[in-house]
Amino acid sequence: MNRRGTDKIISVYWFAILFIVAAAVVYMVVVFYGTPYDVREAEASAMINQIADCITENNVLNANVNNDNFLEECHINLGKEERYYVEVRDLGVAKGNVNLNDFCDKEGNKLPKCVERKLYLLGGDIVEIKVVVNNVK
Amino acid sequence: MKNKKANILTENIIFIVLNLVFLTILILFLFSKASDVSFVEEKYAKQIALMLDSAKPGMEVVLNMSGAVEIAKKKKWEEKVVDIKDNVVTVKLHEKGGYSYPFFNDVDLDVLYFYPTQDEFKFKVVKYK
Repeated sequence: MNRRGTDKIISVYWFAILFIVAAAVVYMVVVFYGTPYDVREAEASAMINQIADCITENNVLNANVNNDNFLEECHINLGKEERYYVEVRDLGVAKGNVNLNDFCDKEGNKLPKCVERKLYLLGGDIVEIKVVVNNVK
Repeated sequence: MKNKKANILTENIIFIVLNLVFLTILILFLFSKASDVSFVEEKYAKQIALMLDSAKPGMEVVLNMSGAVEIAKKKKWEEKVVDIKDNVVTVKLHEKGGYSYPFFNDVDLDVLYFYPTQDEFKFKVVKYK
């Protein structure tokens, strides 16, 4: 009689353990497959390369590029979603969603990604390019 | 005595069957997640968007889409698998699916869509807009 009682308790524990294991497996799978591929850093790097190509001419700063014609000269389309913020201080360029800039000193997977690069030019000029990319809504 | 033995046997069988049912549900869940098409759509959409972001006029791109084509055929999807419109790449492999990702590079392409009739998606970057 006692043995049967013990068996029942063991089977309850067994199912409790099974549920805990299943919950852990489900949680890990959902986290793994639910996390999107994060390509924002690669995107920001590609944009910085494109900006670097267009704001320089023969390895010196192209003075013809300014805040008004920056997007046309660099062939950049920031889209309607306001996912990007671009800043080139030396040229006075600041385009896109300026609110994203506030997240640059914060860290988190769901926060916008901030990438900054320095461009070393002939004559000792150093140009800082900053690109912030947000997630797709 | 016989009844007691039969009871123990029934309890054990129920216990084993419940365990098997439980494990089967878990395995089915894992397989359904692993073969989730939206994951593939996202992968291809972002891959194409990143290629376009880095592309320059004159470049010719050949992308192996065999994985996506195979899924589209399984799902009997014969419409556009890739559609590039207004700086947004959309990859769709079944009727209720679809994933879109934008790209910033303002380029004109010679081909803006891909049907699942061949394994390779070929396009050329013609010029900047």
